[in-house]
Amino acid sequence: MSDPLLYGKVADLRRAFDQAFSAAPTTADAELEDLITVQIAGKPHALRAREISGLFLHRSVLKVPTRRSELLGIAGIRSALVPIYDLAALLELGQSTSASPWIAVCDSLEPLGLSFQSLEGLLRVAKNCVSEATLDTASGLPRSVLRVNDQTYPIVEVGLLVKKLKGLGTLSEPGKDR
Amino acid sequence: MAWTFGKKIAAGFGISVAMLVLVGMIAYRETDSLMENDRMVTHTHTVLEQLTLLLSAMQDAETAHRGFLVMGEDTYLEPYQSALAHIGPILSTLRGLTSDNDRQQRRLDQADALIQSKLGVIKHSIELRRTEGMLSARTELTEGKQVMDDFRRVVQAMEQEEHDLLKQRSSAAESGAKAAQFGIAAASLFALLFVGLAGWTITRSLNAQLSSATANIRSSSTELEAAATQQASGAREQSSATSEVSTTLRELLSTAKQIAESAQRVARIADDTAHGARSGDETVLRASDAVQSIKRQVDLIVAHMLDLGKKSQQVGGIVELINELAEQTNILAINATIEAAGAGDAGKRFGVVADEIRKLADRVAGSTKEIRGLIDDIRSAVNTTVMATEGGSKAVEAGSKQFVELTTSFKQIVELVGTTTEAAREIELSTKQQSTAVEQVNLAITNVAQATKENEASSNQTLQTARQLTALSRELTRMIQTDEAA
Repeated sequence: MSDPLLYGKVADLRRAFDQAFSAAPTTADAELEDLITVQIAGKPHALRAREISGLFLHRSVLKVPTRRSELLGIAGIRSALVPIYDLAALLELGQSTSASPWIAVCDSLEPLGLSFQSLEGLLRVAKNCVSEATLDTASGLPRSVLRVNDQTYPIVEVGLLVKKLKGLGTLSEPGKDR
Repeated sequence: MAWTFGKKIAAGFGISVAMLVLVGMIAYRETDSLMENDRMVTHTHTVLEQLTLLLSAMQDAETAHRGFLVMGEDTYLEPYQSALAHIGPILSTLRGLTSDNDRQQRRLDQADALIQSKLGVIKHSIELRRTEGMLSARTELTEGKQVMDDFRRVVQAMEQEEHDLLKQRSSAAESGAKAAQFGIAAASLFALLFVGLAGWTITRSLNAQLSSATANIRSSSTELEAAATQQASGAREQSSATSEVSTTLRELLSTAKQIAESAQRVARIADDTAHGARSGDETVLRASDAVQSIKRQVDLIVAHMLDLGKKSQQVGGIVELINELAEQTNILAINATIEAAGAGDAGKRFGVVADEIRKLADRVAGSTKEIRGLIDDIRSAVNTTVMATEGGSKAVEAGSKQFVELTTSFKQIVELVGTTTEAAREIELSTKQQSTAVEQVNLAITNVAQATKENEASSNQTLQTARQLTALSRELTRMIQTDEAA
């Protein structure tokens, strides 16, 4: 490698990688929270990693007859049929016009998929970066906001959203809509 | 009919001369007639004189005869002898003088016969006196007297004839003199009247013509004066113009010399240019070979660059694969992180690994993104280079063609420079000839200037003459009008 800049970069990567495994876990890790930043209907949002059981890309979604416009269909994930909902529609951000190839699967017992536009990444941030939850009058759900690096991400309360969907009784028995 | 002055004056003189000739002819004819009359009168007097002499001779012969008869001496016969000598010539003269008169010729014949008879009687009587005496001779006297009487009658008749002729000729001479006097007087009067009329007519005509001519002269002299004034002004302007032309010609001469020097320089430079062009032609040929070599190298570069483009596409595909792997790794790492988070404290160590894997996947994704950008840059650069190289190849090809054209152009330049050299030499020669011509023109212009000055002086003289002519025409008009008034 004749490029000294690139050589330094490689060295930094190796050092950081080695350091991550050599250092002991810090107590401060308990004050950290993993948040997945995504784009929903072209707007940044964040999902709590602990409320997600997995992310999947480019899974084929089979449309099913339904009166609910936010229900996109069903997909086979981890050997189970999972209903897929349009997260933008659920958050009343409007029907997704562009493709939403990403699916976040929640609740491993009764899995439920939430489709969104794109994945930005995973952020491990201090819990104080997340604001206290306030009640959103429009959706009737509490709403928290992540502020990091001068960027604001509304946090989607996936657990409450899932409970709300299940409270409607439409998740466990999707066939009833027929 | 418009007659000229000369014709009119000649006609006047001709009429006068004709009248003089007429009068002279009449006078001559009448004088000649008078002289003829006078000659005839003189002739008649001569005839009378000869008749008188003849009668006197005969009387002398008779007187001498009688004296001899009386005295008997020969001395008394001398008048007789003298008469005998004169009678013949007198008769001959009378015959000549009266040759134009038949009557007188016949009378003269009678007189001659009577004279011969008388002289015969006298001679016979003288012979008798001498031989027989006085008495015998006296008988002859009677016969002689009768002959003598007859002779006297004949002579008297002749004298009467001559007197009648004399009277008749005197009357004719007098009437001729009167006729001559009348004719001369009438001819002179007629000539005087005719010449006077002709003179009056000619004078009137001449006056009219002279008046018209003087008016024309005055008008012409006025126009001549104006023309002379204008000509003098024009001559002054021409003089000024010739001065300017002369100055311009001097400048032109100087310029022509400069042009000749420039033409010499141009010829020298053209020679140098021709030399340079020939050298440039060789250089262009070498450059053309070099360009062909460059073209081959450029084609090789294009081939290599296209190959490099293909290779970079292949690298891009591999990078896409790596990127795909990185994305999947990232998803896997995120899911692992999610799983670790769901496992609580037990999954913390796994979460660290998953986080590192995610970071590694992020870095790989970032690196692949950089690599993709670099590959895109490489492909873009390759494309740009290929295009530039192809453009360069085309430019080299065009340059090669242009070098061929340049070679042709250099040859043309060499030829044109040769032509330029010849032209410059011709210009130099022409300019020298032009300089000579300009000098000649300058000399001619100097002569023209001199002629213009002389022309100006001549114009002034013409102006003065025109003024004098105007004054003269006015004076002539005044004289004519005065004559007419008089």
